[in-house]
Amino acid sequence: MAMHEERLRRLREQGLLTPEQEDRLRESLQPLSPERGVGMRRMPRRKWWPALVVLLGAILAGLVWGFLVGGEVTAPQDVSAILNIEGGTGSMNRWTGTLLGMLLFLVLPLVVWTLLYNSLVGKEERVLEAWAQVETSYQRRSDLVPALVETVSRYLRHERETLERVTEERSEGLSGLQAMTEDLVQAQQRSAELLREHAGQPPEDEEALLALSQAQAQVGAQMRRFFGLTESYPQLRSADQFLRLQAQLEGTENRINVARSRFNESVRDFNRSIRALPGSLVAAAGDFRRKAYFRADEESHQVPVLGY
Amino acid sequence: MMRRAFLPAVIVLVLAMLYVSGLYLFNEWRPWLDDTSPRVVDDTELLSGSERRRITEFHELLQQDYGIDYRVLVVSRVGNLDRYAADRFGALSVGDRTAGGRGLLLVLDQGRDEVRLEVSRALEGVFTDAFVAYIEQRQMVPFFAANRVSDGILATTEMIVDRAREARAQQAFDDEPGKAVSLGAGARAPARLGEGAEAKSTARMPSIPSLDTPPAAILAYVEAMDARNSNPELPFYSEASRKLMRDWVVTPAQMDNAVRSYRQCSTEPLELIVQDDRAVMRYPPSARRCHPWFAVFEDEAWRLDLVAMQRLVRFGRGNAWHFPPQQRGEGYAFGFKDWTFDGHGYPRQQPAR
Repeated sequence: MAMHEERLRRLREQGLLTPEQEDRLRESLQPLSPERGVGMRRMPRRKWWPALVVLLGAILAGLVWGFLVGGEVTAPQDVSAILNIEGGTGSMNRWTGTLLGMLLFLVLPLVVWTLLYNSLVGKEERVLEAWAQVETSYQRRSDLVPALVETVSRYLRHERETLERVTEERSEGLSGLQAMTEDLVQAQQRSAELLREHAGQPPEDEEALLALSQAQAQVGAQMRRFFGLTESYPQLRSADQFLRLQAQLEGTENRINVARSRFNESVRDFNRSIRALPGSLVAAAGDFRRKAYFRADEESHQVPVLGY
Repeated sequence: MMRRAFLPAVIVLVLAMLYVSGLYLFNEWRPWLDDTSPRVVDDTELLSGSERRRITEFHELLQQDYGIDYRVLVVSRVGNLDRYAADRFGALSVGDRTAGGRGLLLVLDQGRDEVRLEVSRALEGVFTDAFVAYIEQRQMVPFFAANRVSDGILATTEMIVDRAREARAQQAFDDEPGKAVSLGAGARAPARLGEGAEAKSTARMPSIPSLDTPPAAILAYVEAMDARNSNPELPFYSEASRKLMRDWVVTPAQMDNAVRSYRQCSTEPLELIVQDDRAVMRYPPSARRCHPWFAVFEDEAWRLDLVAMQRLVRFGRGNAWHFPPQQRGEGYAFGFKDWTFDGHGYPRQQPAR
């Protein structure tokens, strides 16, 4: 945040931001809550009945196994009778057999259950990791807002103040600067609020994700609009400083697209696992819920070409 | 009997364990086993065999010296170059054969006439998007426009080497254990393949420089480069140099680099040795990256002999200058009589006096 302070102050002093806009922009640029990040799975309220069913089933199966497979009651077992007898086998104590059967039917499902559960946890962690990357990319774009406002505004004002050949079109562009700054600050504020609401956890319903995505799309669109102000300044657009800003903006948009795409892939993998058998049984017991996707039409997949 | 019954189970178990551990080891070592995968893949045959080999050799040195796995992919046409580059980065395991996840992938889409350099996460801090955009647009693309694709790639790799050297000196590499990944870092630019070399500048210098001494010619040259003035007719060039410069691709990045290089050497003492109408200006041999300058007295003024400099001064690994082996400066050898050189033409640290 400290990196923005100096720039925000400068923007206000130069009259590029009103004090109110400065405050709103500062607030929206606050980093997301520190506890955000990977491995923040909210512990679900686990259902106890599947475990009870498994336990009772295992006891029942063990008893049946014991009675069907176990030998006659010969306790204590006389092992001397079977020693050194070619091809001979001892009859197992029925209760020992029952116990082994119970263990077999209890342990095997438990192992399978554990493996499935751990697999789901791993996939959900990958979704959270992918979400963290989406957040980081959005945050990165937000961090560029003050630099964009300052660079574009400073160049345009410099042109107006130093050059007499200001066409009417350029003057209109300048007069719209304040309105565009306000639109950009508003879009940034709205998207920051929504992003903060979902810090560390992707929205679970499609509507919330759609709202967040649309708010972010607004920020991107406003930034491109702001950038578009420079269309009629070919000299400015070929300057190295401008090239740097342009590269940062395009790079950030590309990172957002890559992060969204990878988030969708991990969500698809997770959702498939919790819907297919036997994973769906474990998912129901472990309260693993379906995750929402980004939709293709929410924000353009094409990285905007800002001009070269 | 029990032993007989268990034997097949034990064998199956051992085989299963061997299979699983084999798979694990194969995955771990695959990048190194796979080291023969080509560094340059050209689906369109835009590059000749010798050009591919030159790039491969240069990029192998980059990996040896700086641990950066740099691949080049020339394709005919892909839909979305940004997406394609990010996907291919993972599919080709770029950077996996390095210890710190340092990977670069250059994709040239000939059909769409675009180029993109994809950067692994571990290298994002060193090769920022802005830097990548700069070397693409200010160094690579001017060569592409002049139909010199291979030279454009190599000239850009030189800048990557320079940046990597600086990063190593500043300990700026942010290595990551495990698989190299790309998060979409890098930049895309129009390739402008074969559009024709940019017209040379005709701008004159703000003031006519006084060229009464050889160092004055260097100062005038640096001033012009600082203003990115590529006009080959400027007065500090010798007649032969002007001829050479008219056909040379001079990129903005090269001009920036010339200025930066001169300024870095400005702390070293510059020694002037004159014989007849020629002059050598040299830095101490310990300043390995500060190359000597050659000047010739023509039309009552000292002018830079870039033809001789281009022919005689080479740069090796670490950007240290040297003469070609068995040569000692030809027409400018008088300026190095008191120096000794090794078999590769590098000046020895202590001049023999």
